[in-house]
Amino acid sequence: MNGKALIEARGLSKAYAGNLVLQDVDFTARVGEVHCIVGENGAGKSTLIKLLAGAVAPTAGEIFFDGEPVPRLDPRQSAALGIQVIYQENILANSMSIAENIYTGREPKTPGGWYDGGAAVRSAGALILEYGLALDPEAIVGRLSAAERQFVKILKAMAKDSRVLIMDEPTSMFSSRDSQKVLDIVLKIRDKGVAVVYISHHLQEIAQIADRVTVLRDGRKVSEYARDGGGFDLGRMTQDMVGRPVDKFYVKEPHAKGDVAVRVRGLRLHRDSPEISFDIRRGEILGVAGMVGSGRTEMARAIFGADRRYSGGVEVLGRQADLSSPRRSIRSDLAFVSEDRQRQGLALDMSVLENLLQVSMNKTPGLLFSGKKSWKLARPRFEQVGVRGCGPLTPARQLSGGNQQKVVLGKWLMVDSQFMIFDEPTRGIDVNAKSEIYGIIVGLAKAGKSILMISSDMPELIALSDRILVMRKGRVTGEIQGEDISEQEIIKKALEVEV
Amino acid sequence: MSQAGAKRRTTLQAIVRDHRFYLVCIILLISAAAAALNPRFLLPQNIINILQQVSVIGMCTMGMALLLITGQLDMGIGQLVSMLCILMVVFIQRWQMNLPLALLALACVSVGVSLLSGWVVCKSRCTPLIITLGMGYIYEGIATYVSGGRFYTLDRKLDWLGKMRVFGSIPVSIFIMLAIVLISWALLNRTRYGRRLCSVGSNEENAFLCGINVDFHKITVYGVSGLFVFVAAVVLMARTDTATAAMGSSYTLQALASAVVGGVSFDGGKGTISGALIGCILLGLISNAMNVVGIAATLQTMVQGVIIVVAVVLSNLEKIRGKR
Repeated sequence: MNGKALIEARGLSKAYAGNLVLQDVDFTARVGEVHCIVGENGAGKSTLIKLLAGAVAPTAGEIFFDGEPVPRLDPRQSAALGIQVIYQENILANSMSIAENIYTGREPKTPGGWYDGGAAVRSAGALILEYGLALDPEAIVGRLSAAERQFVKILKAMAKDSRVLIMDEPTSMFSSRDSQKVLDIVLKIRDKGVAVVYISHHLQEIAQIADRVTVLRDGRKVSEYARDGGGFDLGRMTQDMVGRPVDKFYVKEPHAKGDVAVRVRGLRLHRDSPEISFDIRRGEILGVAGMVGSGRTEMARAIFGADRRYSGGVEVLGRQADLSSPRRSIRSDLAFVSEDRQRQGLALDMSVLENLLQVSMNKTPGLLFSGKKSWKLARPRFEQVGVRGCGPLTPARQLSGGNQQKVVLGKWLMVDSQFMIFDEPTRGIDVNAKSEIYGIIVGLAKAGKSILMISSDMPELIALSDRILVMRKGRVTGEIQGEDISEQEIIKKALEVEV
Repeated sequence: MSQAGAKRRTTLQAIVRDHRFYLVCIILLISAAAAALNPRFLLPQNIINILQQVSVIGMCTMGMALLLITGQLDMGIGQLVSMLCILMVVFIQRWQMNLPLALLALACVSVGVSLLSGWVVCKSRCTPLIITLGMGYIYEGIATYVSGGRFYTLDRKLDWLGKMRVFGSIPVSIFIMLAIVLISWALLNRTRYGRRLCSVGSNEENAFLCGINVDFHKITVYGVSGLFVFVAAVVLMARTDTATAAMGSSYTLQALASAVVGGVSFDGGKGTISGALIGCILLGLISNAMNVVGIAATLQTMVQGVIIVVAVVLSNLEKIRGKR
């Protein structure tokens, strides 16, 4: 029975708007096996599991279940077949109990047709015991720790008699002790004859639980390894994840750097989080690498005063910056181009002009606000960032992603800060807009700004950065300079494996 | 096709797509129907009547519109009107304060308690709906307690204002409302403060990251609304001369309905002052038209409800189609 192919995908491809994110991937999940999928951010892991779960339809390729072809897999059918996915997002009802959450949608009934809360608690309790967990079935989910909530998600999936369990980075949120518990449960589930598909950034975890590993890179399957008695060669796996020639479509001309202009000292987000300290010179671009969830954005937000921090400070041009709120930190010469332009960077229903003025409203001329006079002030920046195909009065919502990002950039150029933080400055925009934005960022560096740039786009990080900090689990695990900057070096430090 | 022609066409399209266009159409339709049934509907005197009837609600609507555009809400506006009216009588009749001083004190009370609601909403991070509803009960409770549930009269001390006419026969209350509409428009569109209100309502996280003092704007907009409510209370007392503890309680929902019918969204950041005014006039027009046409008073509330629902659904057609 064990080892029999349960889900088999052949030649899966997926394109979004002509952009291939997954190409010709074969994948098999076998009964009683843990099959891990590894790859960098954007390698196509999430797309692959969405295809396997029927959440999206493939552009090409076939999926077989138990040997039978499934021509059009949709979420309802995949649930009927016993395919369960545990996504990273919290999909639990926080105000309800563990038992209620486990049986949402399939609430047990009394013979009279009433809701049978007692039965739900009893069977949830039995399930909890079965997996050796210490949870109270009547506890309210909102009060649980991140790890415990993850257990509830797993129990919820297992209560449905799953035959295939797909897990997307189930341990990314918590400490190694809790991670170990999740891994133990995964192995128990496997031993029940369930086919487990497990996505993770943590190669050590994979070495522990995987029976089979598929490596994805840029939407293609690079290699597949099976355990076969011995262990896995993590070094080779890392190389497989990276081995892409660095695509230097943007070449930065070197320029002279000045003195240290920004000093981040002893920054701690919480009482028990590690200290972060670094310097940035005038004209220097300091890149920040790390897997999604490694704490990069949290660090940037704390530096900018958008979130509370436990301790530490920032010095800009010799002056201690006031980080008590973004308003104060902007006055202290900081700027922060946030990662999600739609949710954090733009007022979508307001005009391009007004979005450009968001930070510098008090610089607009005249007693009353005047669109015309403000436009005179904003126009040079509007032209500098090269927003095209719209006027100052177009609502930001109508712009393409690239143009929206340029507006966000323009907004921060209006204040001319010394210390600029960019969080994923080119996520989700086309190649041309990307290289224009690179031009702007490098231009700022040449003009003597100190830049901190968080990016998950390796070629971008390597092309632009003078130095790179690598983060993992809220800690800076390495710093790479000049000639040593390579994708392999970054991945090695981001995953903390020896190659 | 010339460029000017193309531009004219897009302007036309913009007008047709505008929410306010539908409302004006509905106003014209109802007016035509009412005029066909009773030609007296279109007499200047009746139109002045309509505007006078909406003037107090219009002032409250402006406050509500500014709040909604900032992403806030005050469900105690009408109850605040009641409390101010009762306190006005207390200050002037019982305590014998002179008129300007009494009005100044009332303005301070109105702005003060509104700022307090805003402060509580902001600092407690509770939803404004429930906090301001509670504040509304407090206002009405104070009014009931102070008045002992009786009628209170101002003894014609504000009659000069209530009887004041401009251009021969137009009541001054209409001009006071128009002044508040103009002030609201200028505040929202022509001051940096107003544009920041819109930023906060449109995307609070963005406003925060852009260094806008979000709490300051959220709290003070309640104060602005409180100021308008104070003016509304004065104008109301000038007309009625009599105060009861429940006289304003229907204004909250009327002001909210006017603003929302006028295209001001609960999502914040969306909506215009002119839209809110048109919404307010539409609702006033409907109730007047029903009187003039002779629809039974007992039936009017229901008809008004139907028209509100239909008007809002119609003006939302674009959005419904966009979803598909």
